[in-house]
Amino acid sequence: MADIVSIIRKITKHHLFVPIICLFLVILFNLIDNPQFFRLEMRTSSAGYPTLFGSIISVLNNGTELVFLAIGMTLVTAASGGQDISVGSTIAIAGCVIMRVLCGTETQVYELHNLVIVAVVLGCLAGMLAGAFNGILVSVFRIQPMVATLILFTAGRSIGSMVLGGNKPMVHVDAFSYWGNFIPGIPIPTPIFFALAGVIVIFLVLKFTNLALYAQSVGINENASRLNGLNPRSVKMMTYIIMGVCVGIAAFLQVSRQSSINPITITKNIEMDAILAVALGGNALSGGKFSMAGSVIGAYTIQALSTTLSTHNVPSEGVPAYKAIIIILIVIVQAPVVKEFFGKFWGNLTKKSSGTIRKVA
Amino acid sequence: MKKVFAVIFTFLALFSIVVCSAPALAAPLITVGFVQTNTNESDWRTANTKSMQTALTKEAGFDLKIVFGEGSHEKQVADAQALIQEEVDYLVIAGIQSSGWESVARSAKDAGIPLIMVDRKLDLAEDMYTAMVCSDFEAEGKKATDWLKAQNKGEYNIVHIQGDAGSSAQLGRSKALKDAAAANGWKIVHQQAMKGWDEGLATAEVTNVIDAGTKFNVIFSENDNMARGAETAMDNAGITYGKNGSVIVIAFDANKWALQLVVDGKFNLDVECNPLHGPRIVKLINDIEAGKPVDKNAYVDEEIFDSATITQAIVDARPY
Repeated sequence: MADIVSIIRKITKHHLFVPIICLFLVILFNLIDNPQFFRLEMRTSSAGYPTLFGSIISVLNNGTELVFLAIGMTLVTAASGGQDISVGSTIAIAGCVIMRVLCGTETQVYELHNLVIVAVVLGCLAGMLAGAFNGILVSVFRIQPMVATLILFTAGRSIGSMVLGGNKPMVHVDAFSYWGNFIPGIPIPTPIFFALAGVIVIFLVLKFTNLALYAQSVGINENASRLNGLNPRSVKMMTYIIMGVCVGIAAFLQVSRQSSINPITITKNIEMDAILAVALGGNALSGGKFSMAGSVIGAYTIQALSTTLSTHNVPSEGVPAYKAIIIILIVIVQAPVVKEFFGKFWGNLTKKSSGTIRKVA
Repeated sequence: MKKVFAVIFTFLALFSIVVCSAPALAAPLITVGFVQTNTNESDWRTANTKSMQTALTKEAGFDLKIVFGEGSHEKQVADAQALIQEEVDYLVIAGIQSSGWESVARSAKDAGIPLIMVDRKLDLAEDMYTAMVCSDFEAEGKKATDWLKAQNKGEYNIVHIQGDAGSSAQLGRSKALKDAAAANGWKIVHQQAMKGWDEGLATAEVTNVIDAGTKFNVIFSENDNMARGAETAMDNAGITYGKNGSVIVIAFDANKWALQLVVDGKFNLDVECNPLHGPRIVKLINDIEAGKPVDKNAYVDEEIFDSATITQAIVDARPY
């Protein structure tokens, strides 16, 4: 009995317990309420290619941008103890740079002006530049991250609009849309492969470099890490620049999905989902120790939640309200006060039960 | 120190020459304040803005000032009031929403500035504006529903993707569909007013409709870009559409690229909405200046393009 208790305790104390439970609850709800959610179907698209269809695929596909942002946001949160709220707007900047490189000043483009890879690299550079700007404000000028990133949050979409010179370019080249949709003959949406690659890369980076250690130690105690020979400024800066790369990739997927861009509406409010993914991942938003796996699970949980809401015919303007209710519950459950309460409750329970065991013996 | 002053003085002198001589050289221009909706809204809007810019040039005797609302009706009203304060000669308005323009119209009237409505008709009494150059959006919608009726589908399950809520384009086109659905017993299985006109919004919306398991066989999209966005969502779900597909796609505006999609069989029908208002505005203002009588409520002629009858030649001849 005591063994079981300690095992349960170990499980509930594990850092992935909360994110997995959250995802599990969303899945369980669908399993009971709408088993259609798990149906997979092979269909043929208008272009004549096989296409795998199902809500699960929809979640994995549409959650890709969020996964990339959650990866970046986790590092930023860990090192600087704050969040980057400008990601939606910087996606607009990076996306506009990509479109500008591909389209020049033309609006209807039937032949790309540059190689896609050149555009992606420049888009990522634009993202990194925006990240570096945020990073400097946070690390050198010691401005609160949320305030520092408020600047690009406000200005980013207009900057994007300026990059395009007021044009609304549109690409009519099929090959460009493969990255955000389907590669002919492959029934799985391409963004899913991007997400897989992104997750693998970040786990390899965290495993074989000191990035995680540095980010966490700066986040936990900046002075102590400086005394131990770390440079907190460059560590913070690094996390914001990595965030920029994530933004660049997300922007590329977005513009490829639409073969077009509207900087005013693209990825609107995605920063909130990205921050929530980090919170759902069981990470402290005040920085320090983090779990990347938790954040990735958190990102898919949020996407699953959005899809679940739309499968229940919640109108799109109502989705944020429903989401908010569920998020409040999840965040409250994770709050230290509640955790402490349940900890005590659990402690009393186990004490009593072990007491009875002793009596019986 | 002297040198520095000399340099500064020279610059100031040069600057004042440039500033003062510029207006002196040109003939008196007619200043036209144009309150436009948004910069990157859609291709239609870009073509519309370009048409105004290329028609109302300095060479043609106009000084065009364009201000963009960027999604905010309040900004448009404030900008229009500012233009009236600047005493422009003509005020041209394309309203994001059709209501709430009385105060602007009154100020313009008091200041003696002719008010011209362009593209979208505003809710103003006849005596509050000088003229309008607009599309008849309800007639556009009617053309689409008449065509849809002639398809004899038996069952009509329509997903109605409305444009920017409250704009006259959205209100007119939506009313036509609503009336036709009521008259013919069509089912509108989903309708949603967007917060704009672009692809991304429509993709997200139609993805939700598909995720909800809603069955539909018609997409009634109130512009070209949103129809394209809806098709992205259908591609992801492996739903066929267009000329040889299971879902009929109806779009509005008829941009050149969209007509190419009609030729390719990806759109079934595209209803024209003519954005080339620039030359019409020029003619209208010149007529008013010359004291000629003007057609106060001028609607623009518009046609429909059916994927069954359209030819490549029509697309190639299209200027925008």
